[in-house]
Amino acid sequence: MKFNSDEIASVIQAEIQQYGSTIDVREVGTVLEVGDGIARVYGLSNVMSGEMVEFPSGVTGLAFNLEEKSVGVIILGDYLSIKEGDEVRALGKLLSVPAGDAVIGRVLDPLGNPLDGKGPVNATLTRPVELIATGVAERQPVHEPMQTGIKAIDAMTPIGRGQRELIIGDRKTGKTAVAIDAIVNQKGKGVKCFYVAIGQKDSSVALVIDALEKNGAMEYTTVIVAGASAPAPLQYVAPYAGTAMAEHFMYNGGHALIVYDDLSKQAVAYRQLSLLMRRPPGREAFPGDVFYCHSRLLERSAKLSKELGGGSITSLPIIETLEGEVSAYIPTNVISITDGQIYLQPDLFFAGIRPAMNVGISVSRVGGNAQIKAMKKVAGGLRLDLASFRELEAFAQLGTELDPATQSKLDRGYRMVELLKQAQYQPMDVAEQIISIYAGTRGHLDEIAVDRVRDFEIGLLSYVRDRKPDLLVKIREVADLTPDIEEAIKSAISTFKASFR
Amino acid sequence: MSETQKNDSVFDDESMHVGPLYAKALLAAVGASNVDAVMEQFHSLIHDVFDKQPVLEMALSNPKIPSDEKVRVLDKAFAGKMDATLLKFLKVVSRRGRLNTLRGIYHSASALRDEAVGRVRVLVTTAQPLDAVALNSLKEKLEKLFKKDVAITSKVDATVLGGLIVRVGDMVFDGSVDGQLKLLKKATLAKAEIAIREKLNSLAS
Repeated sequence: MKFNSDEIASVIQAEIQQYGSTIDVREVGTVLEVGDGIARVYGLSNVMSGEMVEFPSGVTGLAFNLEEKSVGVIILGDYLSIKEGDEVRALGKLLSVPAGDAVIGRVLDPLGNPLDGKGPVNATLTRPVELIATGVAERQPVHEPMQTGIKAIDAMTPIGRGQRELIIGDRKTGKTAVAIDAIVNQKGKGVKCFYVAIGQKDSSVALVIDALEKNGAMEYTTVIVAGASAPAPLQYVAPYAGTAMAEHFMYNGGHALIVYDDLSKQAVAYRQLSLLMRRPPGREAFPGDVFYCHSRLLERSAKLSKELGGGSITSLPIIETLEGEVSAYIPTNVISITDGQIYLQPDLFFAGIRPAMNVGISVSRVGGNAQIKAMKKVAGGLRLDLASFRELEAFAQLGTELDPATQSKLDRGYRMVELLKQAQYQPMDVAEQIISIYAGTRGHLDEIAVDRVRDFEIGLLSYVRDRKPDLLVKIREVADLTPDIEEAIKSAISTFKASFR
Repeated sequence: MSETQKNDSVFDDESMHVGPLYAKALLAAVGASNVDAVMEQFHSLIHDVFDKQPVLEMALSNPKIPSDEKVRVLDKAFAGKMDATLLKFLKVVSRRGRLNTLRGIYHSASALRDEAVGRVRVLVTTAQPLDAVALNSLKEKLEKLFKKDVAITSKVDATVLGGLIVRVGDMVFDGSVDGQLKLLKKATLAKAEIAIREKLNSLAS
C-alpha cells in the first residue's frame, strides 16, 4: 500500500490553519530520584492518587503515593530514559487502554501497545483501567454455564458465567493447561477470551500463543503480556488492563472469559512497588492492602442484570503455591475472594491423572446452578464418591481383605478416575461429557478392564457421533435427562459394549 | 531573593519536617516590626556566607564539633553585625544540634513569610531579557490576576524562542513559541492519524 503524500499534507495543512493558539496550562513537578520502576517527584501539589503523569521522554506514570513533600510515581514504561531534574506534568486523566473488537486476536502489553508485529491497534474506544466494580443492584445470580470442556471440572466443579474460579497448585501441575483448554472450548460460543500473562517467561507465553493459534482460538482471544522482564509497574497494572478490555464486552451484553496467569506474581510485583515506596510491610512483606489489590480486581467479574444486558465476565485467576502450601498469605486471600477453587496436585499429576485435580478440596460455590440439568443428574454424587474413593484407596493399599461392597466401590472409583483423565487441547462437548460420565457413574464400565476404560470411552463417543448424532443434538437441546434420553443413552452404551473387545 | 525555583533540599529528609517548626518559632520570636530585616539577613547568611564559604557550613553541620565551639564561632563571626534575635536563634538551633537543617529552616521561613504577607513568587522565562517597562506591566497584570503581591524572578532561556512561560508554584502557564509549536505538532499528528485511519482507501493509491 502506498500513501499519497499530497493528500496527507493537505490534512496537516488544514489542521495548522484551524489551529488556534491557546496557552498551555499544566501542573508540573521535578524528578528527585528515579529507579526500579518508580520515581519520586517534588511538586505536583494538586495531583490525585491514580492520576496519569507524563515525563519529558513521553513515558507515562501513575501517581501512586502522595506524601507531604513529594509524590511517588510508578513508571509505566522505560524508566531508564528519565533523569533526575526532569519536568513531570500531570495529565489530569486516568490510565486507559484500547477496547472493543480491535483488540481481539492481538497480543498487547498492559498499555495496549501491540507486541505481535501486526501493526497499530485500530481501536476508537478506550476504557479506564481502574474502575469500581458494579454494585449489587446491577447484578444477577450466576445461572448460565461456562463450559470448560474438561470433564472433571464441568462435572464436579462447574463454572458459571460471571463466576470467579481459582486455579491453584504447585508449579508444573497443569494450571495454565486447564485455563487454555477453557479458552479453546469457547470456540463458536460467543465468549471473548482474555489471557493475561504476568511475570512469566516470554518463552512460555509464546508457547501459549502458539497453542491458541493452532487450535483456532486466537480469533476470539486477546493476550496481554507483562513478562518476567517487564518492569514491576506493568506487571501490577496488567490484570486491571485486561479486565478493562473484557468489561467492554460485558457492558455491551456480551460474555468474556479472563485468565490471570498468575496473580501470585502480580502480588510480588505489587509488593516490590510498595516496598520501594516505603509502605510498611506486613505479613510475608506484602503491604496491608494486597487483599484489596486482588479483591477489587476479581470483584469486577460479574453477571450483569437483565436490564443491563445480562453480560458477564468469568475469571479464572491462577495462583502458584510453594510445596502445596495453600495456607500462605496470597493463596488464602484469593481463595477467600473467589467463588471456588480447582486444586491441582503434583502427585496426581505424576501418577498420570491429568488434569491433576484433587476433588476433595476443589469446590465451586455457585456453579451448581450453572450446570445443565442433565449434567447435574448424571454427575450428582460424583465428587463425594471420588473423595471417599481416595480415602478407601489409601486404606486398600494396606493389603487387607475387603468386603465385596467396598471392593466394588473401589473398582468403580478406579474406573471413574480413568474416565476423568483427559488430554490437553481436547475439550469435550457437554453432550459427550454427559454420555461418558453416565456410563461411568451408572456402572456401565464395571466389566471393562481399568486400562481399557479410555479406549472404551473414545470408541463409545465416536460410535455415538457416527451412528447416533441425533442423540447428541437432543441432549444439547433438551438439556435434561428425560427418561427417553436416558433410555437412548443406555441402549447406545449397551450396543457399543457388545461390539467392544 | 532568587530562590523561587531552588529546591536545595527536596528529599523527604528531616529538614523538611524540622524546618517548618523552627521557622515558625523564629518568625514568632522576631515579631512583626523587623521581620523583613531579619529575613534579609537570613537570606544573606545562606547565600552570601554559606554559598561562598562552604567550609563554614560544613563545620557548623558537623556533629563531631561540640555545640559550645559552634556557639563561640557564631558569636565571633556575627555578634554585633547580626540582629540579636537571629543570632540567639542560631545558638538555640546549634544547641539542639540542628544547624545542618538551616537551609530547610530558611526555605520554610521564607515560604511562611510569603504566605503571611500574601505574596506569590513567579518565575518568568523568556527568550530575551525583559526590560523594566515590560516587567512592570507583567507584574501589574499578574497582580490583578492573582489578587496578591507578586515577586517576579526572570530567567532567560533561548530555547523558548519567543513569548513567555510563567510559573507559579507548581502551575506552569506556557505561552512560549516553543510550547505552542509542540502543541501544534501533537494536535496535527493526532488529526493526521485519525484522517489516515478514516480515509485509508482514498489516501492510499
